[in-house]
Amino acid sequence: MRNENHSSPEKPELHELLKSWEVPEIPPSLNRRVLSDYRQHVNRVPFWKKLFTSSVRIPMPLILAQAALLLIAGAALIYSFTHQPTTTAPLVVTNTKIEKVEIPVVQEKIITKIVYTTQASKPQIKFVTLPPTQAEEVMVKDEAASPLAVAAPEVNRVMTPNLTAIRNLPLPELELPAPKQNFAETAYISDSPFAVLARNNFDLPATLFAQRAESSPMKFGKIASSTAGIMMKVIDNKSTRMVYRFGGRTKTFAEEAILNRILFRPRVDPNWMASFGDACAPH
Amino acid sequence: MTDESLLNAAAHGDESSFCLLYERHRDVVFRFAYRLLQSVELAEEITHDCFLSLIKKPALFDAKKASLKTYLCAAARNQAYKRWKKSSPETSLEEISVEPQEAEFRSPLRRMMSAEMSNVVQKAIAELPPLQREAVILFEFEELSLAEIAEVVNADVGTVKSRLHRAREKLRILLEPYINGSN
Repeated sequence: MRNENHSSPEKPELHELLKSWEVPEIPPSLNRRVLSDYRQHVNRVPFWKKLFTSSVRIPMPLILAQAALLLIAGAALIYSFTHQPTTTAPLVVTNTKIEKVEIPVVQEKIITKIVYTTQASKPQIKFVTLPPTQAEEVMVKDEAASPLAVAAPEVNRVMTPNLTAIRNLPLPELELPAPKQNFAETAYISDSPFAVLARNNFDLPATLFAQRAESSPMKFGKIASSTAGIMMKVIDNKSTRMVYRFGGRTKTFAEEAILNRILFRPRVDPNWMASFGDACAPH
Repeated sequence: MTDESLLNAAAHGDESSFCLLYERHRDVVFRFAYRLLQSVELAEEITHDCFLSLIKKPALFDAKKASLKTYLCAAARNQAYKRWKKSSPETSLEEISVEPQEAEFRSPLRRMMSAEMSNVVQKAIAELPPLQREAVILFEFEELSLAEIAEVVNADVGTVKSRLHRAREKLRILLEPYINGSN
């Protein structure tokens, strides 16, 4: 291609003439400058390298002070981590009074209501507790059905004509309604010393009375026991109304007996009445 | 070693590679810059800047596109035109390319008739428009091919050929007495 460009016959002459233009020598300063600048550029350390390789002269007292400051700060930091303040609630002293509150325990109480029908032909039998001096012995009807009579048929048989029954004999001063069946079974009211004693002893706690009566070698103790047993029989039959006749305290006894399920069995000696003679004599 | 490997090693701090590369292309760059600007100081400065920019940004050189000689000549050309514009900022390359009047040419040529032939040629080339001048310099003195010249001056080969033709014609006119005399 180059030969094609120089195809003109004048061009070799012109070319030779142009070649006579001489260029001056390259100044030595150029070589030094270029080489110097090249070294400066190549050896130029980047900023991040300078950051890690450069050094600064620091006076020794300043270094010591800084080291001490760092030690103190580190110790404080460690202390703050190891001894973190515990957030405790402020101590509140309260004067608390301990009061004993008795909470009543409601115990189950089973009450059976017995409804009786009134018969027109039979007046109501009313009982009243009489003073010992005017006490009369009452015997209910249906003696044969009475547990006492069952237990002691002979006694009843013996005593029947002598006892004064108040059946169908309403006393004007006695107007208390009385259940018929239960009364007929168990009610004994007597002014005998044993009966009085028994009634009076109803004031005692039921257990003590029963124990005392049953453990007593005396006759009247057995009477009392039997009386109490009859009473408890009534009570055990859930007929508390009868018990009310024997006084207000007997009610408590009856209730306790019901709650404690104390059951007295009548221990009736067949000869107990006979052994006491007039004490059980009818009026 | 190829120019590319030398440049790579020089960019990574190999001074010997840089020296080898510098000595290989230093004269071309300097001569070209000198013939363009006809100043040793400027040529030195341009040569210095060309090699420094080559080391600073070696990635700009693509061996697949052109040789390092072409690349450096193009860099020197750019540097020369920057300085050219600084010296005459209101004069564009196209205006410079306007051919001077014959009368204006004749008078300096006559003033240099007694000077050495080198100076005659130098002045003759100096009278050329820059685009023609660079084409003549690269073709006649640095012996670059038309394709390489086109690469340096960032123009197609036809344009380079045209510029070269006009430059020759002008130089033939300017140097005709010397050409005849030499004959």
